Amino acid sequence: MVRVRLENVTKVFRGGVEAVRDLNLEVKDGEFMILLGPSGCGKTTTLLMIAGVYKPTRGYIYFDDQVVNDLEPKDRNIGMVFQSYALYPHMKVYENIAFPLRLKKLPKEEIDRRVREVASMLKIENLLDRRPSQLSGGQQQRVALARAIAKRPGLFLMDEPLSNLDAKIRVEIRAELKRLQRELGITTIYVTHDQAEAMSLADRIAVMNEGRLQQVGTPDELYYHPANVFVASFIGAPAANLIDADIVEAGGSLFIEALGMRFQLPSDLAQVLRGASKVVFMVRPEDVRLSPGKGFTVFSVEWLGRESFVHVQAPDGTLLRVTLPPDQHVSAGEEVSASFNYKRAHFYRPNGELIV
Amino acid sequence: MRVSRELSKKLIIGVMLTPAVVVAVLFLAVPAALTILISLTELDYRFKWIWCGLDNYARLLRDPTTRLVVQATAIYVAGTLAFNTLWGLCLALLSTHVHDALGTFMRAAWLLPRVLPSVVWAMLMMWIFSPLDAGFLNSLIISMGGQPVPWTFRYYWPFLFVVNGFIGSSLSAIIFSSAIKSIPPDYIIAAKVDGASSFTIITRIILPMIKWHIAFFVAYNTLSLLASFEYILLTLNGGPGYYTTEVMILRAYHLAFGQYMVAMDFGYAATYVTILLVVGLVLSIAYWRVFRLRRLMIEPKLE
Amino acid sequence: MVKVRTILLYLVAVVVAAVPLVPLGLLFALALSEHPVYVRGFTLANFDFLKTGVLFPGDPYLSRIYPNVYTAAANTLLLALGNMALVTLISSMAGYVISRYSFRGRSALLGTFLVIHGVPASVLLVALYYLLKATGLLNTLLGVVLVKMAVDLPLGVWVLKGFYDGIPWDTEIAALVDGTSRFGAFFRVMLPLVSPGIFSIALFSFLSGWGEFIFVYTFIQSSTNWTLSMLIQSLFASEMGGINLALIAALSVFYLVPVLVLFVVGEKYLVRVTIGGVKG
Repeated sequence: MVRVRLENVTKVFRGGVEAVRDLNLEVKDGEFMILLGPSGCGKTTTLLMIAGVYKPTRGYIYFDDQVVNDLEPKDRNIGMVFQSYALYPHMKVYENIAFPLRLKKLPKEEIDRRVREVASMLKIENLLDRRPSQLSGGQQQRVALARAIAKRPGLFLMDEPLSNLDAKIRVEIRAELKRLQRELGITTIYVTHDQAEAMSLADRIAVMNEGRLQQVGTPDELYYHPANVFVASFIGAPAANLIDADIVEAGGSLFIEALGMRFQLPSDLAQVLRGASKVVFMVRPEDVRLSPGKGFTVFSVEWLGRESFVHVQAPDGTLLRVTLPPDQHVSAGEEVSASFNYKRAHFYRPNGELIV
Repeated sequence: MRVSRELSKKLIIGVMLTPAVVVAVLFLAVPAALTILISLTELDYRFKWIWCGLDNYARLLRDPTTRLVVQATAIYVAGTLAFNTLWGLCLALLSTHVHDALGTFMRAAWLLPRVLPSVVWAMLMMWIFSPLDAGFLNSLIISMGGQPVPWTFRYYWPFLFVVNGFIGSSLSAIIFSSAIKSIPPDYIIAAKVDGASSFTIITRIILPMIKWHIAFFVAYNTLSLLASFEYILLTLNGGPGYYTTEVMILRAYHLAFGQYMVAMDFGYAATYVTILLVVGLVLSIAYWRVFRLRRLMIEPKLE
Repeated sequence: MVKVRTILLYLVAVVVAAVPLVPLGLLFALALSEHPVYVRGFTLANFDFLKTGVLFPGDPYLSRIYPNVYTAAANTLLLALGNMALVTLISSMAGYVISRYSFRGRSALLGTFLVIHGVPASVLLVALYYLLKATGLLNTLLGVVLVKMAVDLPLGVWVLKGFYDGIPWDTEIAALVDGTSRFGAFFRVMLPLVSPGIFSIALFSFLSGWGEFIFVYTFIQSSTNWTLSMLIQSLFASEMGGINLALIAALSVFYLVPVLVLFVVGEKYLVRVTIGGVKG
């Protein structure tokens, strides 16, 4: 099981397109690392560089302290799963799984043993004689997984493998994937744009945007301590509230002036923020408390069973996203006042950097 | 021995691409250049290179048969093009408006003359339309009490249009019908719901939507007709009479490989051919630009 | 109830579909005709030449001029197979490289092939004659095969490139990750997946070589090197064309048999090549 390290990796394509910039990342042995970001952020390019399909323009990639920049994909001992499954249409399922083993020139009995072993692990033993075109999406994905597992690779690379599946199957296979990875203990690097998927599967997540790494951390760390505005906005659904605000001093205390109102800051925060003028104030919907009062008008209410998703309108017209516990009810048009849980809120400079 | 990736990539490209490039250069590019060179010489059966500059071209301009030849070329290209395009359109429209099985059968049947060896098709047409009493049509007419018709003696252009048109219209029919079939059915359904007649649908919706394909076919067919002569050679061979159907490329062929092998006037023949070659290349490059064929080239992803 | 217009439409369609088949039917009728010039009666006598390949067993003079039918048939087969093998081999490799590799001059090369394909080969006949004579390949089947192959190659490369373009990149990457080299990926995965394209080009180039006339007419002088197309044309152009048409028709039927069989079997593939050559 392999440790992967990327050192200052940059990839520039023909035509000057910079897909990945100065990426530094370490994936621990046996870890489930997810590369998360919007389309075009460079995550797939990074994955393909780790696979050896692309060569980094600058920087180094290490597998266990060995530089692998010049190593062909076939010599990297990796298993790969694609969004499109990429099964060989002209071969039966058995042959698809056996293909990498045949290329390794393993003896026939060993190949047969492994294929059947992996097929039973993924519950596809009865499909071995069929062709990929005769299988459903979920079944094809299992075959793709089987093919990757059968060669006992040191590293798994997965490129949005669940994106083409129905929502229900997706959730099922997601759980199985997590369990499988734990059992097999193979280092896994997984690419997705779906933050919910990332949060549920990963040991750690690397958030990328426009070719640069934004933050690496456990789902907890990313959720509660986003390092910049992008991560704050990308992680968590419903999305966090990001409010442009001014810091003003009045009567010895510090206030946030935003949304057409003023909110007093607690003294520990005031110490840190004194001297700042313009900030971006981030607060998650569940950290906004509504109570009867004045200042905000309820704009819309969506009752979702275990919580309510509410939009409240501030005096300056901005809509705030708030989630309420199931026992609290408000109705559209009602006037409420809002308060914030400052222990979980964050402040950023206008350029996106974290202040606190 | 570990061959570096760059080297192995270059090796693969080299090995797999070279044959095609070599062939193209040796048999296509070199002869093209040679043609132009030959037109500047007095090359003939003696096979000696005697440079004579633009003498051949001057001779071309003075030669009284040149006018006949160019005229024949113009008539041939215009007439066959019209036949190919219009009849191909009819075939395409007809075959897409009936049941798919019949439509496919129709297009397959019309593809047949194109697939047949040229000598067989030419021979068949000459026999059917022969002006002699023994010709098929004439024998039918005689047996019904009529007078034999001098088909190829008098109606030689229509004859040639039919012979070549049967070959060319299958190509246009295939192209146009595939274009028609790729029109999203929603447009047709919407028009029918609006109450449009079949004729209106054809003229207002179908034809405008396959404009590009029609233009493309006209462009390319013009180009290939300019230098097409095999069926003319096999049937009327430039006759009947004095250069009535002698198109430019056929004239060049006769000059070079003349019927009596006495001619072999390669230099003069190359003059005609060079003109056609230059026209052809210019047109082809123009089409490349106009039809924005560069779009068809997606950059590959792997390295 | 079915509209009158629809019935009329189908009637017209059937008639139109039958039109190109009529000459073919007439050819068969003539080949089986008892009379040498008119279509009359039914006999297999015109096919007697099949026994020995000699067309004019009673006439020693004619037998010297015209080669044995089977000699001509063998030459035709050689030309067709040679063209098929070379075009398929070269274009399956070139199409792959052009489709999958990025290299300097790629668009120029592809553009050149397209431009060449647009200009008919007839413009090169004079220069090719000179070239073949200069290299001693005149009057040889090899020379004709090479020229024919060169002419059919641009189309082959275009069509196969199109087929390669249609295979998703993921499939090829999967093969590389599974352990093949790039050449291995080509051989084990890409080639099998473009096999319909290869079959189409093989079929097309075989038929193209089988029916070839003008290159043989121009470059071949000795009758022992004649193909069936030359034989038929030469017979038709001579007085035989007026005396014994039925024999020529029978010979043509013999010549046509592979064409018709392959056409019925592979018409779908031929259509693909036709479209492929146009849309690129």
